[in-house]
Amino acid sequence: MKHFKKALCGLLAASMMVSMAACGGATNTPATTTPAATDSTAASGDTILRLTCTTTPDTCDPAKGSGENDDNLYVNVYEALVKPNTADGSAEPWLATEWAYDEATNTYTFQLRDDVVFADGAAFTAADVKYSMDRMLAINDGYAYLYTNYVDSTEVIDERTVAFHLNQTYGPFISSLEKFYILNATAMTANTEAAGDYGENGDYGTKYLLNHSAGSGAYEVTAFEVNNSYKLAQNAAWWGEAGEAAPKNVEMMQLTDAATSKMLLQSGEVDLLHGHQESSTVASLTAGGYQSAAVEEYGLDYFMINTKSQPTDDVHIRKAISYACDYDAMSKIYGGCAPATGPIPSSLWGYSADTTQFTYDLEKAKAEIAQSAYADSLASHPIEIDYIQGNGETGKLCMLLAEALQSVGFTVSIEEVPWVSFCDNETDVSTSPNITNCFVTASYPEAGSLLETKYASWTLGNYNQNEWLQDDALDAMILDALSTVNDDERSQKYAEIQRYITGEVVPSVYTFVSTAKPVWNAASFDWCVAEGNIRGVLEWNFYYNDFTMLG
Amino acid sequence: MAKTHSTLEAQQYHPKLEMLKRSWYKFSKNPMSMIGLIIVVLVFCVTAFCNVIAPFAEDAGIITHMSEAFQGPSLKHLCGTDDYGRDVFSRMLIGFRPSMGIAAIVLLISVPLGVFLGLLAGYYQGTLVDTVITRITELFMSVPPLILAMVVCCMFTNNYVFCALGIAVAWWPWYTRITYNLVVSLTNELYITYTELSGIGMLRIIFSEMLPNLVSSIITKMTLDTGSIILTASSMSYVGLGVQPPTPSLGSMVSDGVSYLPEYWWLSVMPAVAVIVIVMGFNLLGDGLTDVLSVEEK
Amino acid sequence: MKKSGNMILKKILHMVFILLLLSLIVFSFIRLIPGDPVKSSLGPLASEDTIAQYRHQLYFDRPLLVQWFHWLTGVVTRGDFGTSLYTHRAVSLDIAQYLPKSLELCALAALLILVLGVFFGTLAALFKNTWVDNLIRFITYLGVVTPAYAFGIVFLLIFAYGKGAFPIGGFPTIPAEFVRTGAPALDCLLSGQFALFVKCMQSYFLPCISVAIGSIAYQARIHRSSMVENVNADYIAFAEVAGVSKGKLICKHLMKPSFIPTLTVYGLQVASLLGNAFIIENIFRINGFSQYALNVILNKDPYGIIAVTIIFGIIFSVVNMLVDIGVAMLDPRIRLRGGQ
Repeated sequence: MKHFKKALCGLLAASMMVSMAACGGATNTPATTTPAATDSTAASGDTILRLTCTTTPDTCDPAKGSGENDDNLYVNVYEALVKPNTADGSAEPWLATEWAYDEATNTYTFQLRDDVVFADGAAFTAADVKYSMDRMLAINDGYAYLYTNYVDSTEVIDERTVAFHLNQTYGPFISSLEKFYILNATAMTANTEAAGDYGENGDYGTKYLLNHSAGSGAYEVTAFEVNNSYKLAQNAAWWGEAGEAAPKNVEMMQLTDAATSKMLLQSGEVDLLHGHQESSTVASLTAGGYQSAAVEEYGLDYFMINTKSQPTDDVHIRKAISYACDYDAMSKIYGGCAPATGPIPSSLWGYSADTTQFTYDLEKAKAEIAQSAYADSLASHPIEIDYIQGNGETGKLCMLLAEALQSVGFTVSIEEVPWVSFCDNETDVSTSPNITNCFVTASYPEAGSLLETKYASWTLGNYNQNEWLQDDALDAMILDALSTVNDDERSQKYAEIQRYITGEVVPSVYTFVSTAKPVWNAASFDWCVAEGNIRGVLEWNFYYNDFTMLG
Repeated sequence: MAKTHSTLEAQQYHPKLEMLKRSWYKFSKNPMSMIGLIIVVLVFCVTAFCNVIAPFAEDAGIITHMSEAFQGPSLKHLCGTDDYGRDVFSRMLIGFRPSMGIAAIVLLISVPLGVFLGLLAGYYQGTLVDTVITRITELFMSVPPLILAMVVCCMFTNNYVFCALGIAVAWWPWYTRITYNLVVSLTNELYITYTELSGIGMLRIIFSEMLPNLVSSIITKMTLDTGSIILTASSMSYVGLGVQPPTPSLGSMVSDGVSYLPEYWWLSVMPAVAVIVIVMGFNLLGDGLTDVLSVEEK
Repeated sequence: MKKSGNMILKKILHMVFILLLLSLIVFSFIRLIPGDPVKSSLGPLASEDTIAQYRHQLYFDRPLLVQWFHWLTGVVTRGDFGTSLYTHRAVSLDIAQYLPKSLELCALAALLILVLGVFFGTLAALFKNTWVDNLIRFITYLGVVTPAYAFGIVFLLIFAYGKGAFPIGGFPTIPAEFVRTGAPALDCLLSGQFALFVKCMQSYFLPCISVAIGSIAYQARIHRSSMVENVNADYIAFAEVAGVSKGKLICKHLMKPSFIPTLTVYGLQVASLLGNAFIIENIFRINGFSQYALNVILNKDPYGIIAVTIIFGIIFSVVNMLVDIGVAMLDPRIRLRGGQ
């Protein structure tokens, strides 16, 4: 018995040593096999593209979602009247051939293509456009906020002509229609359940769209499992020209776990990883022979400073925070991203370089603090910085800022908040922290979209706006700019707003341009990103019809 | 003279002390129990003095050393550095504190509550009180402890006190049950019947006769439970419930490190090993105590 | 026989009572959540009207007992557990999607625990104090003190360095015409797709072991000590003297009574399997119920949380009831007490 116990002790100690040594030994043999062409052909000989995303959409309903993963699906299964130009994102014809604006009646009239059919073979007509807009406004979710305040009614003039009557002038209207996806009205009506929230429209087909698509896009949904995966197959009836080597099937799976993502890419079970991997994951995969590229989005990473709570209600404190932000180090955490020079990324239409810019300078930060009302009472006014749990590496950005703020004399606390609680906190100014960190991207490729979501009073009370500006002058400027139809004038007005925000209000810190970093196996497919031909609107990089499957 | 001498001897002979000595002798003869004891003592020391022992105690606060990120284990950084360039070893030691804190809070709540309800149910055996308490106990036992604890913690503020409260909510029924069973089995023992016959009230019997008998079982269970609570708490902090960053906790260190596997294995392997060692310590000690105490009872 | 029937009926009634109470408690609990789950589920752009309408639709503006009763009638009459604010659809749909897979995983793990736990426990007891016993004891000790996520890490490392040996990409796709229960392996078996079935089992292999390993270790320890205790019991010595053959001695006189504590512990282990599987489900990409439970809890989804707790409660109670019946069948003393 005694011997046994001694032996057991020895064994215990020895095994611990061995396990540690084994782990130690493991690092000396990094997995550096070069990626080979994966088994990208299914049994039937069809090509299949497999990707991962952060979360699969809740539904295939284009009236419901407004996130990046939603857009990714919509752009492939649905089509809109206009689409962003690959060069600058400005609108060009898609399902519409041309349009006209009548200033007197504030009406946009669109001529529609006559060769478009939906996936079930039904022809596309003006009635589909009207149905989709009515439905969008009735459901009032997703991208509906782009139209609710402006679109008064939609009129079917004839089978190929449709008119939108606006109730106020809306400059970016054409751009915003890039997010207005057209549904197959006949298929939708046939699949509408009578019982629902939308009166005589029943459930407006929302149940059907939970796992079906009803669009005219190059692909259609064949399988859809919430929060897990969805599958697309080429739309045989598509009116457009299918890419010669475009994938016949696409499989999207939800996968955030970095270790599993890495292993699936390495074992060839996935071809393309979503663009929000941590920079260390990207680095280790690119070192192993996989490709990665920086895909800039029309958005920024913002530190949003609460202008209504102490001590950040003092503009000097906000300037001090802007000076205490180590911009280079932060960009480095995200593996190097283009710097931001103001509230608008430089690639977005309406950007102005004429802004007040801040650099990392702790001395200037101290000087600003000295000018503030809190110069003598910094210690009794703690600053709380919140970031969203699991939101990439924003925690690291907050840590960097917190560290710098501490070094110039602030008392700082930092909190990682689950998404739901984060949203809860942001609904009221009293529960909003001093500073949050978040990415915000434009809904349509124009500065107005970002300015409106970030700073207008009527879009207040959500995670995009921790600033709580409620600045009447600014509201008026934004409203004025948005209702300006003339492009040059509108652009000038956007520039004026940017000058005002960065020079006088300083409500946010603009760290760097939001940049997706997808990682892929170059042996299995080729796409525009690999060719350096990156589209400005993120989801258009994932337009699968443009992909070339290899091998 | 002789009489005085014998009284003196009788006074010097403390039966309880002797028994304790004998138990200790038996306990110390078992190397596994001793290892357990040593680990537990060490864990307590680390918990108490982690700020002094940790070579880079400041790494538990708001601090970054981005240029030193992802260094492997070395003499300077015994367990390497993490993605912020912080010393994993120091953070691990400081991470002992919330784990032990949670275990302490859970036991402080669930043991008195559980034992009290158990005694109450045992005292009023067969009455409505017994039924009600038993039903409530069953109610709380009908959901897996981890799920119950997560629900409680998540509903309110997510910090380590609520995490502990959540675990306590799931934990007390087990003490009620063990106490109740012991009381029931003791009631049937002859000496209790005799004491009862001698006219001493049941309440007094419970406190003077039964409670001391319970103590050894409860202490053993507490020791074993400390390990399980630490495991549960670390599972919760693995999914982000409990101590909030940047303050380290062992579970969250493991889960944060998992995304850096396999290249930077030390980020998750080291704190996982720490959890295993702590839990093993408490289990070995608990097993040792069970051996000694149960034999003593016989 | 009638007595044991009574016992089972009584237990079922008791179980229903406990579950009703549980649901009521969870309901009152949900009402205590700070913040407005309805509002945050509708997103930042929802109007006050929409929120109020949705709240009304979900019975959140009615008194607690009314809401509870409405929910209960929904569950009992239509199997309707309400609408999830997390997935924005009927909770019953979610359950149907996530539960079968997880149940199958846990059932396989439970089988593994019973077989391997008893096997190793018996082995250790039969070779008491030899190297076999010591080795098993050491391994089981490690198994008991190691958190589930640590096994996850070990398996991740195995994947990383033993590439291709184990499938980790989730399950093979089951063609829609074969889907009957939603549990992949069972579906294959029911529709006679044996090749696919083998594939499923391959995918199950690693997650099963990871889920089960801690419980196997615990079970082995319990079984060993219970057998050792029985070896020393008087009646075994008696039987030995009476000349009962060794095989019969082990099987009938030793194994049978030793199963009583084993079964009791087994019940608890199996009942908590599902609740503890979320980390493993995450690592192996099994989009299962445990993961769903974690998500609804983290997202404070009221009806989701209620459904999840109730389902865990049902599983827990049913497993424990089966165990009680099993114990009663093994132990004549309990059996005789029957319906009391």
